[in-house]
This record gives sequence, structure tokens and C-alpha cells, in this order.
Amino acid sequence: MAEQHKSSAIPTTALIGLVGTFLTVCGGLSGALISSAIAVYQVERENQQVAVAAPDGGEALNVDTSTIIITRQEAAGLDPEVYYVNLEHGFILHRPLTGWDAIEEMTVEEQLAEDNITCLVACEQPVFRIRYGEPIEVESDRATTVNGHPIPDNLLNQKEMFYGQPPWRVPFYSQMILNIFSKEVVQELGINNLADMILFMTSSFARQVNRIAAPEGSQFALVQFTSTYEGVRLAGEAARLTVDDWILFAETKAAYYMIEISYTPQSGQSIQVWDNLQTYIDEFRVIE
Amino acid sequence: MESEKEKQKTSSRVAIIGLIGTLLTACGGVAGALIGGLTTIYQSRLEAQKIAIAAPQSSQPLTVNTRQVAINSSDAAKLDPADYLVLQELGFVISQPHQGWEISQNNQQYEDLFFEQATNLSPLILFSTWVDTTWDNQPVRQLRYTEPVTVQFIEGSTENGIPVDLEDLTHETVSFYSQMTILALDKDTAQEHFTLYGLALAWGGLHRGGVNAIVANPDSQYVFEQVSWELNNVRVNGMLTDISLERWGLFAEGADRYYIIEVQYVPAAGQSVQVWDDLQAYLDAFRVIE
Repeated sequence: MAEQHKSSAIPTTALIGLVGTFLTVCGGLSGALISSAIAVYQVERENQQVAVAAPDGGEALNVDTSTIIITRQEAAGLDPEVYYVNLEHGFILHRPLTGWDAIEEMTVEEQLAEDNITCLVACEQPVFRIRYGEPIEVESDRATTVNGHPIPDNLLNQKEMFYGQPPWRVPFYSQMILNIFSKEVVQELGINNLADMILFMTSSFARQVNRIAAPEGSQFALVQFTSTYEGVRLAGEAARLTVDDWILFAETKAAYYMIEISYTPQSGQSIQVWDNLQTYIDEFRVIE
Repeated sequence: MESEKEKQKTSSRVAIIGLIGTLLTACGGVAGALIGGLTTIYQSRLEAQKIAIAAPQSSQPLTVNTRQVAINSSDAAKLDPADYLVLQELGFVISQPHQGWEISQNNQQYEDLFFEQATNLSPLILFSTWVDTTWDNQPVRQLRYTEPVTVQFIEGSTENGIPVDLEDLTHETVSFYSQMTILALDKDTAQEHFTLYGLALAWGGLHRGGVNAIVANPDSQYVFEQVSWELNNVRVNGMLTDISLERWGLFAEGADRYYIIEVQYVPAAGQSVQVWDDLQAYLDAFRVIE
């Protein structure tokens, strides 16, 4: 009888071993799945984080492309004290931080008129701007160079037309400017997609563009420009001035969005100004 | 008694076997997790470096593996000269021409692009608007499929929607070639007007209205663009038809030079699909020597 009991214990032990094996297999497979999922998530997240630095060790602007688009429902839930939600034009901005001017709303025509430029196309398209404090007054003339090269004659002549005889005094601001172009309006200019829009706005800055980040299949692009002016005067002193610009392009079904960040490292402004600009980009959303 | 001991032994053996099985499976599971994770990372990273852009109304994308574009000098020297043409002095490698294709002469230069008779000229010539004659001596190499598609413009023909003025044409017909053109620009010369990205923006800007895609992955120093050039209401082999020229531009950088690699595909009725495959093979073979 005892013999029979012992012999029946043998398959029981083997069965326990089998169950253990089965559980371990399940554990191993689950581990593999979890590990793969984490790896995919990490790689995908990394691909969505775009950091584009200005050359010469300048600041790097980060854009998290996974968060640019937001639904109307999510937009409606945002705190209006922190965020400026514009449902009409389909975007969200962080409200001006300490030291920054209020959000200015204007048209392309009004924006260009500030530089005495006559608007020829898309004149009624909206522009939103946030500027920091006082500008730097930069004095330039016909001998000023940009990125080591003389300014072409046609541009010098244009400047003379807009600002009169040199020396020219032009203000530079640390600022964020948002342009919104209705797709219907710009289609008349031959702009049929985001790539066309990027080229329309940037192809004349061929000497200043340092980086383009336009990941495959994405609805955005980030372009970085640097303009180094030599032979200029700041507060009456001979100087070399660098202006870094980043432009983020995004699109929805109805419009193209162009948000530009301008920063001058020589401004003498606190690093907080740069951090604020990064905040404006971080919090910018288009409403889909 | 003997039999009882025997059974105890058997029982212990079964338990030990079960334990070994458990251990093996556990190791397998851990190894599986590691391999799975590493493979996924590898695949994701590789895919991020592989760019594919299809022309509109076509299922065929032209792909570039941006990881492969750079090659070091010693690896370039080891390439089989039967398959590759290694141009050490210009800092790049291209494929030898396949059957039905020809390669330009060794001394071809930018200015030569202007002098082709009755042939659709490369849009690269339009850079002269900015650079005037300063690029004239810059080296060019071209791989061209020898059978062009010959187009006759007629009353009512349009090019990108703009009516063609027949009185402006100096030839009755124009030959359009599938080809790959490489312009190797000395950096000092190019930087008078352009950065690498500036070249990409300007080339795309020349096709404004026809640009379908720009890809510049954040972890890559290359820009890849795709554009279309539409010819409507033209005659090919006596038949009234529309043609869409598809162009891709790859912009790359070596130690001393910027490279504009312009690929033009002219689809034609009855043409072998091999022409397309050859163009993809040429782009796959292109390397910048570092």
C-alpha cells in the first residue's frame, strides 16, 4: 500500500515540476514582452524629442513633438491664467512670464509696416507676438558683414529704401512670434504642403541656416538660423552681434503655424530669458 | 525494499529534471527578454536612419540609409572596382554604370550642365542665379540612362501648370533622361552663399509648388527632398499624354566638400522597371569618403 502511495507521488512531483516550468516560461515571455515594450517606448520617445543647438556651443532649443497637437476638449480644460487659448485660430500659448510684454495681436501687414515694408501677399493673416523688455539698438552700415560675408547690394539698397541713409539703427528683441497662415490663402501662392511652406519662408536665408530637423512622416519641422553681424555698434561701441533664431513649423487641416524664437546671447539679459523662451515653445500647442 | 528505494530514486530524478527544466526556462526567458529588447532597439534605431520618400501617385519610394552614406578611406579603397568608382580626390564613391547606362566624362564640370542641346537641363543650373559663374569649375559626375523620353511640346502644353510658349523653344523636341547627377562643391566656394542646409532649402525653393517632402532626421546630417515636375498635354511617341518627372535631392557633407545628389526618374510607358531599380542601386552605392 505504502509502495503504491510512493509510486503515485512520482508523477505528482513531476507535475509540480511541469507547472513550475510552465510558470517560468510565462514569466520569461512576459519579461521579454515588457522589456521590448519599454525599449520601443524609449526609442519612440527619444525620436520625438528634438534638440537643436545654435552653433559655437550656444543654447539648444528642445521640442517635444509628441505634445504639439492637442484636442479642443483638452484645450478647454487648461487653466486660463496660465494659458492663452485661441480657439478661433486653433493654438495655445503660455501667457507672458515676468518681465515680458503682453501678447500683441496684429496682421502680417501691420508687422511688416513696423519695418517700413509694404505687404504684398497674405497681408491679413494673423500674427501673435511676445517680447522681452527693451530691445538692443544695433547700428550697422554698408560695411557690416553677416556670417563673414558682405551684405548683397540688393539688400543694402532695400535697407536704404526702408531706413534712409546709413548708419541704420535697428532694434533686436528677444521674442517669440507666431504666424498663422490659412491653407486656403497660401494655396494661391503655390504652397500646397508643409514642405512648400518651409521653403517659402526660409529659402532666402541660405547662408544663415545651420540645421533642419524634419523627421519623416511628421507634421512639423524645426529650422535653426544664426546671423553673426560684424562691423556693428552697440551703445556706441564697436561690436560683434550674434542673433539665434529657431522656427518651428507645424500644420493642422486648416492652417500652417510658424513659431519663431529669437535670442541674442550678447543681450546681457539673464539666462531666465532663454528659459522663458524654452517655456513658450514647450507650451505651444495647435488645436486639432 | 529494493523496489521502494528504486521508486524514491526515480522520484528524486523526476524532481531534479523538473528543477533543471525550470532553471533552463528561466534562463531562456531572461535571454529572450534581453534579445527581444536589444533587437527592438536596434531595429528602431536602424529604421530611424533609413529614409524612404515615395513620389506622389506612386508606391515606389526611393530610400536612403543615412547610416551608410559615410565610408572611411581605407574601406573605400577595398571596394571592388568592377562595381564601384572610387573618386578619392572628390571624396565620394559611386556605382559603375549598369547595362544601358553611361557615366559622364572625368572632367565634367558645373558649366557643362548648361550646354546640353535639346535636353532638359538639371535644375542645378538655376543656382547660377545666386552664384553667377563662381561654380563653373566645380566637378560633376552623372550616371544617365541612355534611352531618353522625347517630349514634343504643342499648343496647350503646360509645365507645372504654366503654359509653354512654343516661340521660346529652340528645339522641336526635348529629351528627358533618368539620371543621377552629383555636384561636389568645394566648401570654401559654396560657403560664399550657402550652408549645407541652405543648399537644400535653395534646391527645394527652385521647385516651389512641386515639393512633396523634406526629411532631415534630427540624428542625421543629411537632408532628403522629393519634388515633382509636371508636363501636361505633351506628345510622346506621337501620343498625347501627361508626364510627371520625379526628382529626389540628397544633401551630404564630407571634410572638404558639400554634395548635392540629384536623382531624376522619367517614367515612360513600356520602360523596364530595371531603370528604377538601377537608380535605387546607384543611390544605395553612393558614399562620402571621410
